[in-house]
Amino acid sequence: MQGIHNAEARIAIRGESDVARAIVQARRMSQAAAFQTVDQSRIATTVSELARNILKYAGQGEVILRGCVGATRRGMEIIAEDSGPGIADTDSALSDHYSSGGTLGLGLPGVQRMMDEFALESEPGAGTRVTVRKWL
Amino acid sequence: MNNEAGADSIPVQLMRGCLVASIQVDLTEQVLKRFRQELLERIGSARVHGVVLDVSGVDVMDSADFETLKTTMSMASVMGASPVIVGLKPGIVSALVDLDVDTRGVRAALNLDDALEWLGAAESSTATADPAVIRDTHARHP
Repeated sequence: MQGIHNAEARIAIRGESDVARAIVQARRMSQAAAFQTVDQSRIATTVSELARNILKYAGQGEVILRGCVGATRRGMEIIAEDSGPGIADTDSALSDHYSSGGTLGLGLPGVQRMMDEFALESEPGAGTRVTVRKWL
Repeated sequence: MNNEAGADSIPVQLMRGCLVASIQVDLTEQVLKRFRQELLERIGSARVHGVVLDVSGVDVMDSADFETLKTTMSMASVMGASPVIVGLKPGIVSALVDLDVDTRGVRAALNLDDALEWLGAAESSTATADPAVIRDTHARHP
């Protein structure tokens, strides 16, 4: 029994304490998967950024953490989804200057830099889903 | 988990004329805002010349946490207490750099001793060199 490739955790995000729980869970899973400490921090910080975006822009949503398996490697996948207002212009949401000023932005370019794979799906009025992966 | 008032509070001690805050808890907006208020009140009543934020017990700091701490540091500075942050872990630093947060003006030291030494020297001399401040390289010194 090693690794986390079968593990999955779903955390409903409705308040700050849920964000904290998601971060703790992400740390636990990334540790169990034997990520290096710097990558453990990147994973935990990513979960924090994404979960806080859910609270701030959608009010509530869900964070899913799970192990993932690629052709030659293993890793961890994080999905953050909500049924909030969505993002009308996803291209600008991913450009650095859209988020200058720290808390005012979505922090998505930063999440993209911290992770190996990044996908943003959003439809105005329907919601947003961010899927990221970090490989070992 | 225990949620009663004070459970997530951040202890602040007076050392060599400076306030030293040991941040050992998980950072949330609420914890950081309460800490800011307590710290500013202590600065006002204790008349300290420096404030050290020891974050060596912090494992995760996102961009919002960093911005809130940075604002607290500039408030301390406006009150007359020089702020120094110490003990940022490598993982936090690399995440903050990836997040492209603005670290200009933030004074950092590797440990508490270095921070207190610098604050003591700064108190006794106005001409002390200040190598650890992260500045906009274009902003000063022609």
